[in-house]
Amino acid sequence: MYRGRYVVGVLISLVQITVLYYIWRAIMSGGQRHAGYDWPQMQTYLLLSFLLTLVLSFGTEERVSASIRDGSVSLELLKPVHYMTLRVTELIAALFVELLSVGLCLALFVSTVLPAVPPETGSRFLLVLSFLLAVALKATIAITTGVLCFWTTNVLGLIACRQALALMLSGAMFPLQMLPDWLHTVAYALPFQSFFNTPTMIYFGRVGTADAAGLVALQGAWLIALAGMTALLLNRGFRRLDSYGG
Amino acid sequence: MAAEQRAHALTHFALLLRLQYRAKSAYRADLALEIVSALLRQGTWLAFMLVLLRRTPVVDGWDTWKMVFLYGLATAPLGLNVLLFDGVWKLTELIRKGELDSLLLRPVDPVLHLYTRSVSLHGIGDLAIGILAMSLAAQHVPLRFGLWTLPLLVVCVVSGSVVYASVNLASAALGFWFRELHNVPFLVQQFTDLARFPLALYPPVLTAIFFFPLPFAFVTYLPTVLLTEGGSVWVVLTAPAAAAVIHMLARLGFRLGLRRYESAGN
Repeated sequence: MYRGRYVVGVLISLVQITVLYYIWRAIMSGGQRHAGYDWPQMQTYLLLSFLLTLVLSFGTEERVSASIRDGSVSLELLKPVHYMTLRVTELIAALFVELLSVGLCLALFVSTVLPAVPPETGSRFLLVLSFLLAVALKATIAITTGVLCFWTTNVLGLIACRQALALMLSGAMFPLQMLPDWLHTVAYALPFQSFFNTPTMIYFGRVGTADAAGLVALQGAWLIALAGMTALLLNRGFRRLDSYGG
Repeated sequence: MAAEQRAHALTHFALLLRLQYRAKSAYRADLALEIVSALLRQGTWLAFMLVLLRRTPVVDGWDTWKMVFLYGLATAPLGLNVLLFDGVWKLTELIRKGELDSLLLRPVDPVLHLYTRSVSLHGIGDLAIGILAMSLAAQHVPLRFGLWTLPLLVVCVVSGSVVYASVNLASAALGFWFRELHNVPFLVQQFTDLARFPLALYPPVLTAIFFFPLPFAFVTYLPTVLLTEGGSVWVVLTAPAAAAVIHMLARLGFRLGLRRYESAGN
């Protein structure tokens, strides 16, 4: 039954990407290019967007906060493992299952409906690194959202806010170059573009090796900053924690 | 007798809703967060259209503002539905935990009771974005019915909220058969995203889904085409008709499901 639920979860992401797919298809019919992408490239772009949404999906994110919301976090604190270690191991375990399904989806898509464009980058190393960092950043954000539940029980609201911002400002809906200038600047000042924009820019060879290295370094910096902030929040959160025990 | 019962049901419905709202408004921060999250979620799609269509003004005969109008007309009933019928989301949990008994024992229609089991104020955000989108679009799109547009819109939005609620009820009632698949309503919810764009974009199979079993076309797509391109005003009447039919079917599904319901016992 868990498998059934997981499949439904994949379908949910699939429906979301379907909207984007058909709108883009209509817009690009007649061989138009947008932000330098032609239709086959755009299809690959959306495929990447779909796959990265699947990794560390909604369910995983919600589970992270569950122990805080129901109070069982106090039991976890008694164990001789740091809270963050616990969460990170949990996320890695979920990641393996999700990577498997992402792999299956990828194979299915590429062999049937969507022929993917191969990466056009100069540096495979940077490409792989940027994807790994993107996933790590997503995991960190998931834990941060979970930790915020020390202050609010409304985890759905928090996740919805983050998802909405990430959807637009990470480039998952459309290449960030299409944003008006001021919003483009805002997007680059926020961590969301490191989730998706960085790996795709490198994938499609939109940045030179030096710029790519800079973007990857930025991902690393955000990872450290967010992890530090989460640790700080966690510390304050534990101080707020009242639990009954006996 | 039946009329009297219906009047009673409405009073009950209003009373139960009022209680929920009173309880909900005690948590101010949660309330603000919910509304902000709805504004962000809907605002993202609106921004998407404005950004994308700035460069491609016409897609399949739909210009930007007509699409924005459709988006608004699909989002406003979503908001109204969340404000009035959001308790449906509790059904899968009630079934799994065997807690549906408390609803069945009361002398009120269990479906009405279920609808008011909880409320989410993020509907205010959805409703606001929907109305905003429609009024923005109305300044750019010629509306064929002049002042009559307004009552027609009200009919569509109210029917639309019933359609959304019924579809949610039916998909949640699937929980009677598939107890562990409690994310099916979320999947159906995602389809509402598709219905907010011109159905002409999609392949026919997908379009057909929006006539049945998810009849969103009657309350979003068809009325938008009518209001912006003109035609027989009777098209609008298919909206309440579709709402009534799908609501009956959803109730039927719920009642069939109840037969399979096993309480937790005590």
